[in-house]
Amino acid sequence: MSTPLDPLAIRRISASPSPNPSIRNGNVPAVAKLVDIGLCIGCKACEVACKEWNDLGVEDTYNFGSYQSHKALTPNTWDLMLFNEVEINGGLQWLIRKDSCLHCDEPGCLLACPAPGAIVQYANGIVDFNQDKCIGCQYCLVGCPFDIPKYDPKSQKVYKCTLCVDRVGAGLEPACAKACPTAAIKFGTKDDMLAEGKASVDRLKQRGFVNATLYDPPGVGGTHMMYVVPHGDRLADYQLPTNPTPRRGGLGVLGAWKWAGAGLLWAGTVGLAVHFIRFRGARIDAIKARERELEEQEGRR
Amino acid sequence: MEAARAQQQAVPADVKRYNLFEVVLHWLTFASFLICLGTGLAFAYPRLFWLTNFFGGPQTSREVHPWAGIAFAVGLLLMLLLWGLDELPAAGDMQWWRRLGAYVSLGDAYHENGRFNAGQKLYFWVMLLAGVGLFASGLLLWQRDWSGAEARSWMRLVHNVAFVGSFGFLMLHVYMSVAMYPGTLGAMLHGRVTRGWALLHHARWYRKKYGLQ
Repeated sequence: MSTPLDPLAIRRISASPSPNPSIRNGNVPAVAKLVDIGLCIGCKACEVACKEWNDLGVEDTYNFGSYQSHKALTPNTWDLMLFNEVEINGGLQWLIRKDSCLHCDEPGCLLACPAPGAIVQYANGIVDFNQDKCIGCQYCLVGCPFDIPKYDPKSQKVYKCTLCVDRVGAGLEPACAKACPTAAIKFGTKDDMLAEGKASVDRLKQRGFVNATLYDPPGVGGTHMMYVVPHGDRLADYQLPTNPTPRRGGLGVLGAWKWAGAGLLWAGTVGLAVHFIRFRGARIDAIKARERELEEQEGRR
Repeated sequence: MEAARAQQQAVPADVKRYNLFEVVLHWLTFASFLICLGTGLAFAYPRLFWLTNFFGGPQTSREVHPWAGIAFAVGLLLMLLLWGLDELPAAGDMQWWRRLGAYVSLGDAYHENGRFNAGQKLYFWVMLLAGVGLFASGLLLWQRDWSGAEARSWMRLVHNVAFVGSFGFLMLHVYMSVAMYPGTLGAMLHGRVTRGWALLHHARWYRKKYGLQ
């Protein structure tokens, strides 16, 4: 499956007030990864492939009582198998999930980023960080509803999955999808992946997983990595937010407040200018006269 | 009466209002605020991102901003220790407020004030409150491990609200000292004001300073 990535077809650029160059966007099909959790055997081949392709190096790990290799994503671990242990119907279940950037269509990280060009969204939906423009403020960590971007104190930059933008640009599938031995990770156009995902959900339902669902949360405009979730009623156990939004908590109010605040400050500036024009000039002499008057009064005390 | 006259001879034409430490503290605090303002405006408004060029580029601006914030907080703390007592509410404050109209129109405002009038007191406490808000929210935004992303999203709002409050009052402060009443700026340049200025704005402070009643 090859879908060309047109590097010129950029949909959104962080912190850029000018309109984005969207004239060619309609010509580029949106891409997506589909992670079919029902097919995943927890082999971690995707983790290794991600490390290898992106040259991220080995990170020390230790036994913290789980089959997971790390507790969470790190600046140089962009793909991590979460081994969530849950009791269902009296038996242990591993609600395994491949955790990596979901590439939101409305990316909270990009909307929160104050550095022009540090985060871009290509027309095909891939959200990518440009570390050379990153200022290390970590506002993307606040904006992301999935807790994906990770800050590296050494380089003072933030890192995350690129959806193998370099492979996709060369007509290849992402490294994780290439390595997956059970085709639990598929890659293609978003439309194709939606169709495959729905078919998979239907199959799961026929086999008794009545709550099976396709995770493509509308709150963030849908994602360019979707999950087929067998236990769709237990999203929290998969460590997936039920209704993620790109503007969490105070960020929703912040956008409006910034305009209001700027308005207040400009109104104040105009007010001061009006005061200056209205009262300066002749009144200064009056102040001086009043000062002399008070001095004379004080002298007579 | 004779004694009072004799004492009055000792009163110089220029009245010492701030000592060197106070003047230096004031301008260092002002400088740290300006650094926070320039870099912070760049981060808050993409259209002003070019301001980072004045502070060594985007990355350096981001690096400098929290440290300048700490300097600002230390400045405020020292000001609180230096002037806090004089900034407490006192007799005459209400009279000053009642004649605010006259003060704004440069007319015959209430002048029997202590070291600071009620307006200056309001400015002081607003800046202190905004400073606490800026410092606390900024600290949590800086030290990302101290709180969750949800909390920090609200801290961004607190930081911005406190910024608007402090910057608005700062503009007022600059305008009033530079352009509204002549002779005010000198208090923060060489620390001195004229006798007439002292009587027009802080008569009670002036008499207490020189033991005149």
